[in-house]
Amino acid sequence: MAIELQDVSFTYLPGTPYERQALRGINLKIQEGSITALAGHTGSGKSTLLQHIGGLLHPDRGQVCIDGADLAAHTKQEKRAALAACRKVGLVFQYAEHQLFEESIYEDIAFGPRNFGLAETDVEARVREAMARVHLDYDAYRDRSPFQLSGGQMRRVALAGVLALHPAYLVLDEPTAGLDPRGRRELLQMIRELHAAEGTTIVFVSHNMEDVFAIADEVVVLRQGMILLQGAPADVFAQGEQIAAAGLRQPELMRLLSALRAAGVPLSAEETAVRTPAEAAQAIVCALKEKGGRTHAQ
Amino acid sequence: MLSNITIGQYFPGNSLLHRLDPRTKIVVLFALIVALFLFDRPADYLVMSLLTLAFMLLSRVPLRTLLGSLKPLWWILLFTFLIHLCSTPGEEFAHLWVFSLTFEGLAHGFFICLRLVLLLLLSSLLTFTTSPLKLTDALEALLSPLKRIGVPAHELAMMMTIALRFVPTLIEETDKIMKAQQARGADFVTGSIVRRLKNVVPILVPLFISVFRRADDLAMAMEARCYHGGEGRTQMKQLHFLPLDYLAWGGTALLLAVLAALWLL
Amino acid sequence: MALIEIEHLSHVYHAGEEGEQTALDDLSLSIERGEFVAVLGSNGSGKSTLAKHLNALLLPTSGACRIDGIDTREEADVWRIRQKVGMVFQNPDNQLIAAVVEDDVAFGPENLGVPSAEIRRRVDEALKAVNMTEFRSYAPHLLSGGQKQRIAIAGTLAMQTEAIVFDEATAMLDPEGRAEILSIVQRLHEEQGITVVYITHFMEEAAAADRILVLDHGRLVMDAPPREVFRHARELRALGLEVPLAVELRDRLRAAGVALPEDLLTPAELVAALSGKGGAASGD
Repeated sequence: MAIELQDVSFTYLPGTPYERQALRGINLKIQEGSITALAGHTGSGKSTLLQHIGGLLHPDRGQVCIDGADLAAHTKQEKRAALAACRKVGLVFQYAEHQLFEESIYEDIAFGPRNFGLAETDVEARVREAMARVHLDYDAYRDRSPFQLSGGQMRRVALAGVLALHPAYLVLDEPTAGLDPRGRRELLQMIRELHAAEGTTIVFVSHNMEDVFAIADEVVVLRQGMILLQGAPADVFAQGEQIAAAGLRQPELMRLLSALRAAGVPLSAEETAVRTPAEAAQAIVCALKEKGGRTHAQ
Repeated sequence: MLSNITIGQYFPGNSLLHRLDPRTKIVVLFALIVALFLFDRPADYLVMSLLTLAFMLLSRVPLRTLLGSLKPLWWILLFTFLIHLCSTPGEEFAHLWVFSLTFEGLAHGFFICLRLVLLLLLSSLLTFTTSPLKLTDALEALLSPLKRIGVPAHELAMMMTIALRFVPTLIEETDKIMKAQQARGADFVTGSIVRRLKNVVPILVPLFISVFRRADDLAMAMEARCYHGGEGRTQMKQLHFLPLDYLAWGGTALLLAVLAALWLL
Repeated sequence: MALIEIEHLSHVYHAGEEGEQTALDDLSLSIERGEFVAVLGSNGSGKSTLAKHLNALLLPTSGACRIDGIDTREEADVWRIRQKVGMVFQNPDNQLIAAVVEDDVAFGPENLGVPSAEIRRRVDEALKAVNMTEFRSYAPHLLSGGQKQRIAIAGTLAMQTEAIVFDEATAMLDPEGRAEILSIVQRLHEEQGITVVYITHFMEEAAAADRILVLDHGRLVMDAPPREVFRHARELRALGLEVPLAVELRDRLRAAGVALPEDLLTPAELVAALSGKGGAASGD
């Protein structure tokens, strides 16, 4: 069970002077249960790719399949299968707080489940659960207007609105854009928790390599509508030249560790697995001990 | 992507018509429209048709693009023609149910339609050869003498400028909000009209909130940059008439004089 | 006389109404000509409110804010104040007014009644200063966020302001956009001596300033050079802020017994300290 893209190409406004090819023959398989980051410079096609996975855009060529069902339907029977497949994907847009519209937080989160035809008792259960997932107290917040919240809280309400649909695949476009450090940390933590608790597959687009490095276990780097690199974050980011060619920067932690290694601090090969400052500090202490030990031995 | 749609139908180029001062073009267009309505004998129509044809060739805008601007009015033209054909009294050449079709009607319908076509072509020539920005500048310049009688020329022009600036942004935003609500299962395509209207609320509310937020931000940004209305304001780009413009002014005046003389004779 | 003088400034939104909210609480500080000051604070700390006072977009509920000696409450002088202090706001989309880049840069001087030829000269110069000359005839919606913010900077440069206030101007940008803006700001500060007030929640940007102000609940809780401010990592975290990566590693390594200077700030310093000493203080 997975998201599969086969030879997907897409062109905006074909046949006009504004024609622009956004995706060129993308082949990609996103495994169930993974946290996959799509990284790339502005215009690399990452948001277009995301909309294909959400079934909002259909490829000119190739196909997008969710758990084996093609999202572009032709016959009536296929349509039902495509809709069911589409509903397994929850899409959270960039600056998602800008799509809130209801008078109360409860009503806004209930919008999706109601559209899916759920009974009111089920809707309530879904809203309750979704609010808990984004750390908003149900009783304290359910009747409040979403527009009185802070930016970070509004984004959490918008996220809850998608989580209430129980997506098997949660797809997010720049989830931390514009948030302050605390808001960013909290949101990444929520995504991690969701993944751990429900096993929800996470796919997210980011130009922030720190976010990618912090939570992804698979990275796909896009450049000009094509896949440039794909693999585990440590392996992908180790290819400095390619990363720069994609208009991206290595995560700061990684740059710092390479600088240390270049300056003669004997960090072991395992430090490619280092992803947090805590792990980095530990690795550095070990390396210093070893170097110190060697010095003593001489 | 919706965001690539531009407003108006400006066709970039450097033809004689493109280079004319936008104020000249507006005034000449206005004069020609008046002439179209004043002088309505076959000879007048011939002169106007030839003139329009000449302008079309001068503009270097492809003929197909120009004629394309008539497309949306095809039905109106047909309807106008039929009304005149059936309702003008005169020598009958055929009878259809209660309608009598006359030769006079045929001629009348033809000329009315010709007038509409010429009107549309001339106006399209203005918008094809003048960018919306230049049109805005020209309108402000032409309307500014009316400031004295209370016409808010500067404010109108500023509104047009801001609209030109923000329409692409808002189109993009609408597209995004629609997709976001679609991702939450909203359906804008099927269902009864009442249901479909109801389904627009999740688009309109966020869009309105966004527009107000933008307006608020923009007002503050304008204030921070010392905007305080048109009073005492200068402009970086000033419009200048070229010899070409004087030629156009003179030509138009001559044409009107000739037509008036023919009409009086 | 300092360029910006703030004395016992308080600002209360909806004063006397329901939902009354104190955004700035008895704030006193001054900023000299030619300084590069960063303002840090979590959401709701009052930093944006402070920014709007510097340009007379908001007026004090009590206390005073003076720009080059002019009180912002002097209504007749508000245009003089805005000529001295320019603003670059957070949302790149909502502060460009004209449909063409160079017309937008001209907007400020046009409002000031500057003669046409002089506006042309200023616009060309301002676009050059932010490396955007080749985009002069573009429509703003075709530019990236970072490019739009550069145009906004050019817009204030064309007004020949002495100071520019950046009100979270990089919050909505991607990492390259942020780096672009910061390097342009540093260059303008160094080459043209422009006074910079840089409101941000990115610690690496704040570390580039000469001086950092930390706000919390409308109060000034720290006012010191970056090296000094980032010695207090724990206090900063308690305020909902973070510290630059090098500072975080410094504290973790110090806690593990590695001898490092307690005011170490940049990655380069960390690398030098660790490789130079080669773990002299570690272990045993």
